[in-house]
Amino acid sequence: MEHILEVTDVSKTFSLRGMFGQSKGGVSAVNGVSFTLKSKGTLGIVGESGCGKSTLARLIMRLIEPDQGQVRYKNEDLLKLGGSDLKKMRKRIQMVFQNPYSSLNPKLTILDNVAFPLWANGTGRAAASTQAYRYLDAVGLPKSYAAKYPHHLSGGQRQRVAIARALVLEPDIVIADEAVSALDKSVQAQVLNLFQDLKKEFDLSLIFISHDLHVVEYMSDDVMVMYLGGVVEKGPKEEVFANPRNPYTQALLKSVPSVDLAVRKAPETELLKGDLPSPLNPPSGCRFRTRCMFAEARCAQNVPALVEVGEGHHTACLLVHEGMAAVQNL
Amino acid sequence: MVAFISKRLLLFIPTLFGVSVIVFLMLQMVPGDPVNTIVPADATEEERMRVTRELGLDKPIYVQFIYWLVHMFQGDMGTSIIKRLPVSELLLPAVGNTLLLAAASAAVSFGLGLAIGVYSAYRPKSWAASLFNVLGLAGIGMPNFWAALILIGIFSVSLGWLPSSGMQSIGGGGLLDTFRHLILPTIAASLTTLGVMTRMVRSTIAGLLQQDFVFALQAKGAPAGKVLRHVLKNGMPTILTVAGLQFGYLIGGSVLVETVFAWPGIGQLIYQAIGQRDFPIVQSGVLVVAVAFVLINLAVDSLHAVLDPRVRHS
Amino acid sequence: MATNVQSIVPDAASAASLPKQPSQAAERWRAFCRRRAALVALVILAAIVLACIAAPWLSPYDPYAGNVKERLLPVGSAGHLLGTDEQGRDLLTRILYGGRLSLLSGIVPVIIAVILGGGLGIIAGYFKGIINTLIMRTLDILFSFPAILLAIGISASLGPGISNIMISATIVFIPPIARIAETAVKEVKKEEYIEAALSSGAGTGLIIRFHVVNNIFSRLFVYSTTQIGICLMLASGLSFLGLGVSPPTPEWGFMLNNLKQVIFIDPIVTIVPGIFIFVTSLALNIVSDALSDVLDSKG
Repeated sequence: MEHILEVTDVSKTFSLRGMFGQSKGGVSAVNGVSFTLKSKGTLGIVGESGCGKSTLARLIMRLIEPDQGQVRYKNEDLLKLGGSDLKKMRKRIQMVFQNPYSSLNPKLTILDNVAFPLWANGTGRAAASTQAYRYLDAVGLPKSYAAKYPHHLSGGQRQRVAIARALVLEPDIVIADEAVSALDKSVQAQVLNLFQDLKKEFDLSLIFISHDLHVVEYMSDDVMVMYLGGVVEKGPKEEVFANPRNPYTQALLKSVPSVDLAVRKAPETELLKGDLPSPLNPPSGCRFRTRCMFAEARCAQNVPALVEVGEGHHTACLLVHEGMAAVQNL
Repeated sequence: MVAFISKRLLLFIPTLFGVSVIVFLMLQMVPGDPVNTIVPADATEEERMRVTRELGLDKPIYVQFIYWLVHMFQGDMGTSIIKRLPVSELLLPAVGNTLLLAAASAAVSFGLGLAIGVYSAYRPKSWAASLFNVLGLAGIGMPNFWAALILIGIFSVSLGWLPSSGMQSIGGGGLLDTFRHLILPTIAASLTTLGVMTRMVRSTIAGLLQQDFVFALQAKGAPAGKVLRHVLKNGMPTILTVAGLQFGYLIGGSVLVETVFAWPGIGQLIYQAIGQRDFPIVQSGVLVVAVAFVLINLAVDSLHAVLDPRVRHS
Repeated sequence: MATNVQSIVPDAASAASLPKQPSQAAERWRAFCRRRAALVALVILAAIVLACIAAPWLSPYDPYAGNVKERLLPVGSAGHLLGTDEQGRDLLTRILYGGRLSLLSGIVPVIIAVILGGGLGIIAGYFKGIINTLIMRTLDILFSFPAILLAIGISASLGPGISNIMISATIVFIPPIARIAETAVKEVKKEEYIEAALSSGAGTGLIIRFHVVNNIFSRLFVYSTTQIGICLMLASGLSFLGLGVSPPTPEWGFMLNNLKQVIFIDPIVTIVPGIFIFVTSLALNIVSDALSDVLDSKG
């Protein structure tokens, strides 16, 4: 399958400054992340909060400038673009944000919120409104909502508006950053299905970011697991969920409450110990080793590379590469 | 905390520099040639040139500024054009008188403001609290120069109880005489601050009275006095900050009250100097008060940091 | 897993039957009207403003021409409701005419300061970095003067005149208004709709116009209304010092200045113009107090 987006070795470190502007080290938010997004495919990115998923999305959007790396959209490196070229390319990728209460301008009507991206790209007011109506309709909002303000709408409705706004520029790629996390379960389901429908209708490629494994499993073709700014495992959804190789992925899957029983089963073995380390001072070697059940001395010395362990299935774990029985048998 | 205060001190220097730039610029805005205000109208061209050179007015403006700044630092504020006296000699006693009035007003408005504010917070539904609330608003909305006129009308003109102008009776008088002269200006100057303090103390204390630690103390059976002590201790950083700023305003706002009561402070000095176009006095007077204001702010910030650990760690 | 996901109650449909919401403005107006004191203050304020505008139709007297025989008539005299001044001019007439300049000098500086200070604050808040430091530190220096002293200093340097009073009052009000705007913009910039606008490729100008200005406006507006009363007092104070109008132009502060010389003859007449400064600024404070209560509640 053809790749529409190719992200290579993207990194971002936020520098911290002290009282008098001196450097006080940095927070490594995203560290050498690479992935590809298949055309018309959905990539799910999963990880705990603070693992750099949202920063990664903003790096691709160039809402934050990366320190290094490449973001190739149809073979054009977006990070090298500037000025009007950037503006032209920018609308090829749009984003749906996490918080439906912050992502809509409370002082603009629903219609204007959706139409604004068109104004910004030189469309006249009347034409922009017509277009905005069409997309409000596409996300299932009745016409009568157009003149309302965001505070009249529920969270799920707002998120529909946010989706309409992301689509109005007719992008090829939509990045949904925790787009359903703030919603109630029942509303979540509707919005997820809406994404599925719109994806087909408008031939979209999706990057779906969530801390919720169910959501990612439901939505994605491919999955990428992040931990503390880096990729620990990625591959086709079936592979990763059925046959997780990285101890972190295994721990995540184990800690998910069983849906069928609708009650959380106590895990037989606690696979995650301790808290997330500070990204200000990440552990040496494998970043996950401080919380890993299987960590050995060498994990502190060597940084594990992503190695292919199955058809398109990559994982970054020294122990897996060396073939450790305990890990494989889990 | 030392770091916090030293950072404030470090900011103090550019602020002071900026303040002096602005005061210097004010003089530059004065229309017309300043030489004209010094030399007689029939002065010869040579005479004018001599004065221009003496004042350094033939130099570029930044050189003039540096001269001026250096002189200020040495305490040489120039010479009054009208009174032909060194400005510093005129300013010094005036600063003392202004501080006396400001201190008296501060004592009245802070003391009363605290008492009324605490009372109103404890009895928010009482008629007295509503009355104080309205009076507080009135105090804030009342121009102090008008309050001064009313006070003179009532207590000097109609009742004849208190003197209406100056700091001492003709022929001089003792401390008591000065005190009698101080009463009306103090009341006029403190009304606005009293209004601000009352409202602020009331809302601060009322907010604290709703907090869990108060309920905990009351549940333990602590006497009302002890509860109040705890509440005041918690409210003090806020109250002192506002009080400190208000003290600055009392000094700055003294110009109008001093003018009405002919109180020989820095405000009146500036007022007279404006009328006589005696700009060295206006300039130095404004600078002195502004520097005092900056210093008070610095002191308030530092005090706040001492009292409230959250500030210095933020 | 998928079974969970597909249990759907369409939320769009259920919400379409919501009752029609009343408009925000109407809601807020009602909240404002519930405050009796504020309503009374607003009526008084409106009456004063209208009376000043309609002065020529309300008063039969010439504000400039006095009658020497009728100097300092007491309040309540026949034909002169508030008495006459030291030159025998009808006091009420002069107060109504004088109110025009006084009210203007309370409002105009705040409006200009909102435009200039708001603009500076938006620029400083939006761009951060060196631009922010430059603008905000400069304004901090102006802020480190006591307001009235700064105004006096500037007015004295510019020379007497009501327009110079307005200029100096404007300069005094720019720093605090800019600070409010800057803080508000910094908060707005954290909102995701700004990021959304940026990723749509919108330029800075459009973002400021459609996403920043309208979201900080109500805070700026509320704060500015609290400043009008203060500005009125400041301007009349400067006028009282003789920095404003020159005789015989009527203006409240300057009228007090003229009348203070006759305080030993008739203290009541002397303080009459001050009542108008006081009542106006008090009413302004009460109204703006209520406004900030009503508008600040997030809606």
